[in-house]
Parts: sequence; C-alpha cells; structure tokens
Amino acid sequence: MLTPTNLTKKQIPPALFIRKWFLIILAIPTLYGFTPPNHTGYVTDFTHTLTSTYKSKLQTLSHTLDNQAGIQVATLIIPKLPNTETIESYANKIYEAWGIGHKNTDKGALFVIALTDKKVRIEVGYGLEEILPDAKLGTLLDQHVLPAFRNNQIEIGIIQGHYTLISELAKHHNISLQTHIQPTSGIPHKTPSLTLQDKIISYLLLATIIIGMIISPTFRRVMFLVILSTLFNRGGRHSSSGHFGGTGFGGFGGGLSGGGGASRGW
Amino acid sequence: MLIIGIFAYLILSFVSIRNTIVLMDETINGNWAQVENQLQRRYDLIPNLVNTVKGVAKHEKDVFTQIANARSKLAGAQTPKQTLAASNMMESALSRLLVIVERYPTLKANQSFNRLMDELSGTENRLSVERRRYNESIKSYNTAIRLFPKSFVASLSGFEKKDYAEIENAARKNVTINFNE
Repeated sequence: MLTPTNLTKKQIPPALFIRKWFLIILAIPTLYGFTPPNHTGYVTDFTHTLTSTYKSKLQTLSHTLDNQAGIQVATLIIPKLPNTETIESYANKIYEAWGIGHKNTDKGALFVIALTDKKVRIEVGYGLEEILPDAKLGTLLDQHVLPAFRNNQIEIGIIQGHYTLISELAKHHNISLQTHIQPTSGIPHKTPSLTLQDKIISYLLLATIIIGMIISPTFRRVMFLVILSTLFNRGGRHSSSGHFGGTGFGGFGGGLSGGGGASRGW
Repeated sequence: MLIIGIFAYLILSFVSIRNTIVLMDETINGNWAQVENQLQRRYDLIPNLVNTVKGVAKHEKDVFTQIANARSKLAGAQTPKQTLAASNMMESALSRLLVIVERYPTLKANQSFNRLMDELSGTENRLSVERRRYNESIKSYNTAIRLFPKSFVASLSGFEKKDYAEIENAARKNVTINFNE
C-alpha cells in the first residue's frame, strides 16, 4: 500500500542519484582540469629533494601544530606544474582537492614548490588570512626561502619555509615546539663521515669475521644466521616507517582556501 | 487510493526538485557575495597603492584618472553585470599602472610598496578563485535546469539561465604579477 511516508523515502534516491551524477560527471573535470596527486601526509615530495630525516621532522612539526592548534600546514614539492596551471591556480586546486585544514575553521596552509618552473607559493585557507596576510607571507618567502633557493640550496629553503611558517603560527598560539630544527646550521645533514679510528676498527672487525668464517664451520653458520636476521629486521623496519614516519597523521579535514597567500619565482 | 498515491508522489517530487534548485540558486548567491567581498578588498587597497605610486610618478596623470573612474563606477554598480563591467575596467587600469611601475626602480626597492603589491596580487588571485567558484556553481545550475526532470520544474517555477562572470582575458593576463623575476 502506498502511503505518503513510503513515498518520500522512495523519491529520495533519484534526487541523490542526480546529485551524485552531477558531482562525478561535472564537478571533477571542471574543478581541477588535471588529476590532483595523492598526498603522503603533511609533507609530499615527488622530487626526492628532502632527505627522510628532515621529511619526518617536518611532518612531526606539522603534527604538533595540528594536535595543539588544529592548524594543518602541508608542503608539496613537484617537478613541474601541469601545462594549464599557474602556481596560484595549482596551489588553490590542490588545497581544495586535499581539503587542508579542518572543515569550517579552514585553518591551513600549503607550501608548494615547483622545481623546474622555479616557482614557489604559500597558499592559506580562509581561517588563516587574518594571522598570515599576503604581505607577511611574501616577506617570509623573501627572507627565509628565496635566499637559499637562489644559492641552489633547495632543501634548506624548503625546510626553512616550512619551519618558519609553523613557528609563526605556533608563536601566535603560544605553543612551544619540542622538535627543534635549526635550519640555518648543519643542513643538509648527510651521514657523518667515519673517522680514521672508526675505519681501522671496522676493517679489523671485518678481517676477524672473514678469517673466522674461513677457519670455523660453526662460526660460518652463526654468521649466516646473523646476516639473515639483520636483513629481515631491516625489511621489517622499512615497512613500518613508510611515508608517515610515525607522525600519526589522521588525514586532512576538508578545509578550503579562497586564494590567499603569496608567490615568488627564483 | 492509487491515484491519490501517484498524485502525492508527483507533488513530493516536484517540491524536492524545486528545493534542490533553490539550494543551487543560493549557492550561486553565496559565491557571488564572495566575489563582491574581494572586489571590495581591492577597492579598499587602491587608494594606498595609487598614493604610493603617485609619490614617485606624479606626471602619469592618465592612469590615475582611469583608476579613479573605474573606482567610482564600481561604487555605483547595482547589478552583477554592472559590477563585473566596472571590475573589468579596473583591471585594465591596474594593468596599465603595473606597466608604469616597471619604469620606476625606486618603487620596486620600496618595502611598503612591495607589501602593497603582495596584497594586490593576493586580492587578484582571490578574485579569480571566487569568480571561478561562482562560474562553477552557475554551470551546474544552468545544466541542472535544462535537464529533465529539473527542466520541467524550473520552467514551471520560473528559474532562468544565469550569466557567467566573464573575464577580459587580455586584462587579466597583464594583472598577474610575477614580481621578483
């Protein structure tokens, strides 16, 4: 038997269907005009410019700020902009596609670096326009990012940009950041070179092992097991510390940006 | 009973579809309000900018008059169409100003001028973002009211096709500021 309540339930699906159809057929191609890349947490690097140590440090900084102030700061490094996009339109579309910042508060910032285009931009969500006006962001880029970029120290520039952005916001919210990066000194931090003493000790150790393996079959067997277990250990550790580096990133929150921010070329 | 049922179904569908169209219409209004916000922001920035440039480039009177005209047109605009026409006028005036600015190195070295330029290019960018969103909402609205069954409901309720916010391409290109190049 058809009653009005049944009917209301019945007529919702077509409307929903139409709305979905609209979203899929119309919205996606017109909104972006290109396929937005997937992010890998707060820091997304398609160019392998950042060493994993610094990448995870930056992620931790972002995570601290997100936890304590609900502000999401993301960095994206791409080799090249899509042909149809400027750094401004690209940053805005990525911002929208990822939804940086939490819904309704829209407190987020996106730091985009396009390496071969030599373009950089900081885009801020609606909620940060007051704290970080365009002129301030322009000055931030001029003072903390461009000098390093012009010296061809891209990694340093990116670290300083991300760090300064976060520390500005942290200062504004009276948050102390435990993770301390001193971006100006000792970067990039390559694996420390071995001292002469270390070298002699490691050669002696290696020689002992080789001699031991030649002389004793038991030692050979033990060494085999040791090597095998280190290999497995490394494999295991590798998979557990993937992209997210233990920052506990819970995803972006659906924030929106209205095109605020500043751009530069170098 | 069956006839009453069918009748009720039709009425409810009609109301629900009409509501969807009303929501889309409201989205457009909301997006237009954002466009107007940004136009206002630019409007407020301009006196500062003009004064800073005037201090260095006194004799470029033409462009200052052009900006003043566009600004008063913008203030007097009533409909979205007039507003957009005035804002296009403003854009071509601003792009001329920016060409002039290039000839004065002292300006480019001026810190407060650089800040103003950041604010201005930020505003231009916001404007283009909000305009794009406005156009997108118009696009989905226009498409919706031309597809059955919404087309039927729309024509009965008097919903009409809306115009896009047109951009003068040449003017916009010039306003894009790549300052530190």
